[in-house]
Amino acid sequence: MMAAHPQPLKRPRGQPIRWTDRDLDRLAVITDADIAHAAQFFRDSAPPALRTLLDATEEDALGG
Amino acid sequence: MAEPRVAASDFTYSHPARRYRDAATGRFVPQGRVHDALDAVLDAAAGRARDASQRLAVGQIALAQWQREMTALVKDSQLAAVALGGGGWHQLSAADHAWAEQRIRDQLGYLRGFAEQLDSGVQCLDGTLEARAAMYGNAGRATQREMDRRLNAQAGQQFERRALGPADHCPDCLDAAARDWQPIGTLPRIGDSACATNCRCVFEFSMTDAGDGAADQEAA
Repeated sequence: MMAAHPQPLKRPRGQPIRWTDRDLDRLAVITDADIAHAAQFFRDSAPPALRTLLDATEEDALGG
Repeated sequence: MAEPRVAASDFTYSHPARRYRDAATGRFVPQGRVHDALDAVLDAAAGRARDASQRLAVGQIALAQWQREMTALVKDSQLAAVALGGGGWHQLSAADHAWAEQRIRDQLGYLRGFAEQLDSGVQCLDGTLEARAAMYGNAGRATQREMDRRLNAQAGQQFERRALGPADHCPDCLDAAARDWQPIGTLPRIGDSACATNCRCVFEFSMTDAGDGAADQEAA
């Protein structure tokens, strides 16, 4: 017997987070954790040959 | 704001050229490959959005959890797009961070409306939910293109043109590309066309309205 797929609901479960403008301003602030998470996400998702692209160093800093 | 943990990279970034360079070969990374990298990352972000929306639709997660997951992928995709356009994490300035926060804030404003429509039933829990959610991942493409445009304007480039991406083209993009070289900042933004976040067009930049130097950008 095949397992039944869950059926879509009419409405989502639970209440939404009621974001105020101030909440969104706060959420938009970029933290160190955000940067670290995004950096890891890029390394995990980019083509293997380019996964360190965003870790590039500036050429002038190396005398390049 | 601290930079991410320093990781060894196979690339350097040339500020004068506004290009990534393969450290092993010394050659610039073709812009097409840079855009391919972004597309892969944004595809992954769009996949996260679809997955979260599927789980929301069948009741595996509640609406508040969906909002949190969508917020996280908005930040990941927008930050990756800004960093890619800006030469990598280590090259981003305070002004770049402020600009990125505004882009994220804009997306979160749209997301708030999306969540309200889900709660009220205006947005159905059907296939349109996943497609709409995926747009939040793909929105990073417009951000990277706009970052590129912004930095080229700051560097003194005077003209821009729209180059069609390797995809089907909407009438808006065909019209924009047909206008050829125009003063920088005057052509429609990527993402504002009928193809919206699916747009794969890019901007090219030049000091003159004859495109001097633009060809070198891809050939180098």
